[in-house]
Amino acid sequence: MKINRGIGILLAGVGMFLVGHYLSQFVLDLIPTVNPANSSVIADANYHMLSISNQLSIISQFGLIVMVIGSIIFFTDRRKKIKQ
Amino acid sequence: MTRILILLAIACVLFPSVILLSAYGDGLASEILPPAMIGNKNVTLSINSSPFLIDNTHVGTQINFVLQDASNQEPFQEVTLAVSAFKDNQALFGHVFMSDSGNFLFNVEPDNSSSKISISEQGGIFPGVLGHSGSYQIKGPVFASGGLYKFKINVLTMGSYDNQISKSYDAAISIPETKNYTINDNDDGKQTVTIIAYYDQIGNFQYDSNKKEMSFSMPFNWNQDNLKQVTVVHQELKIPRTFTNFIVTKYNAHVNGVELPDNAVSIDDYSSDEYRIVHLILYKKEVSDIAVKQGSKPEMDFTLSPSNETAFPITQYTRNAQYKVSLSWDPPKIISGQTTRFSFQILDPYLVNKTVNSIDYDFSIIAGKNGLMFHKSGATNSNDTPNTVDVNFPANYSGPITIGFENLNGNSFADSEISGTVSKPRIVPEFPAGSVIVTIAIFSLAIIVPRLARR
Repeated sequence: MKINRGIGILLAGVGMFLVGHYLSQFVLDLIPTVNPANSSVIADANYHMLSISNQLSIISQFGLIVMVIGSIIFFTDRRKKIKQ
Repeated sequence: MTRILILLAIACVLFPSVILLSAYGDGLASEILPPAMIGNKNVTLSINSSPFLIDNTHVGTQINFVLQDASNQEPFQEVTLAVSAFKDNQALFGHVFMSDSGNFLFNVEPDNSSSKISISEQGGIFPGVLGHSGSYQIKGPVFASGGLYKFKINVLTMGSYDNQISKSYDAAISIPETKNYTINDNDDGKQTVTIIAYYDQIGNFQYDSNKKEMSFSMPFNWNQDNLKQVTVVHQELKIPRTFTNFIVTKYNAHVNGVELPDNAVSIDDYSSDEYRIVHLILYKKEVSDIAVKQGSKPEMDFTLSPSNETAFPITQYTRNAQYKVSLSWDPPKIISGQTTRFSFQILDPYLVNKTVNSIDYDFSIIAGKNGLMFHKSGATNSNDTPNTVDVNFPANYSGPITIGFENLNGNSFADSEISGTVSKPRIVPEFPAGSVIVTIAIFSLAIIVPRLARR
């Protein structure tokens, strides 16, 4: 099955957006909100989980950009095809 | 295994633990926690909740957190807070919240139909993807009732999402709750007393009609950490003016058996025509004093009863604060069908016990709030001797009265109203006729029965 490259990029963008956003929220929800003994290990772990969540969030933001690029490519290719 | 250990050791070196600090706040609908240094910044956390009261029309609560620079009150950017909420030592929710602006707004929608709490980010086209507005919707069985809500707040980032912070705050918001209690008094019949609890939920309300005593309980943590946080504990009791046994000049109030000082009990006769409002206000000092004297109860047991003493003279500012009226009456209990002598002085509001020069006055006694019972116009004495007015109260009236001073020195704004109660006279038979009849009957029987028996 042959997929138009624009649609391929668009789907990749959608995938990045959804997976990035879902995983970002998933990691965020795993962060413990109570640190009863004020443990620095838990505080560090929280921070790193937050960093991972932020990076996954950035992936989902890139996913939006990739979706826009995919759409542009899709319409450009279609225009080229029509001209040919 | 060795590699993992080396990696862990490197991680420990790269990410050293930060100093863990904590600050406390407690017990109001709005407060700014004491500032604390984080790095070179003086940081405070402000907490607000709205609406102030939870009543029957309550549809939701908004909670606002702002992490701000104490020096200029500007919020920090890109803040991450890990917030856990508790009520009655039970966890309600815990979640990590992010805000680009440092301003957090939680829209809490109470929904008792579901046992689950859902938290969703709001704002923008893709909330949580293209930035964090700090606006969140919290839906579930939370904030449906008033009381003390405690929060543990960990600040994870501040200034930038990459700037690691570890600062914890213990904060609390008191959401006042209004409750009505119907009681049955031997003299005044059915009465509805309203209590607004401004600290935590109250319960176990009881009224002892014989002792004329109201009592209710409120959970309270007496440990030193909590005592440091508490700034004020406030209970507001709305007592109907028809509840004449409780319309007195002085109350006896106790918490866990410890008598409250006079300044902890204040009477408000101005705010409502139907009710007298009694405020029980315990500031840090009073709470600390009670903590020393009371036992180990994990609660505050309040009692309130009318005092046998009279808090004379009653002093009150006029509406325009031009004068201070000092009033007392004799006998202290106003009885229908009897004459009561009212003594009053019009004082300078700024000087202690200094009467003003002779001024005109209108003195009125009003049955309830509208029915004029007695009126006298005159001029006050030019010296310091109290002015006296004798009022003969009609025998057919008992209930609340308003003692009014009006048009002091011709100024219609210089007026003052003081509440009182006319009581029914207690009819005590001077000669115990009933017991005499019974005694005569017994003696007669004692004489007659043996004689009849002999026959």
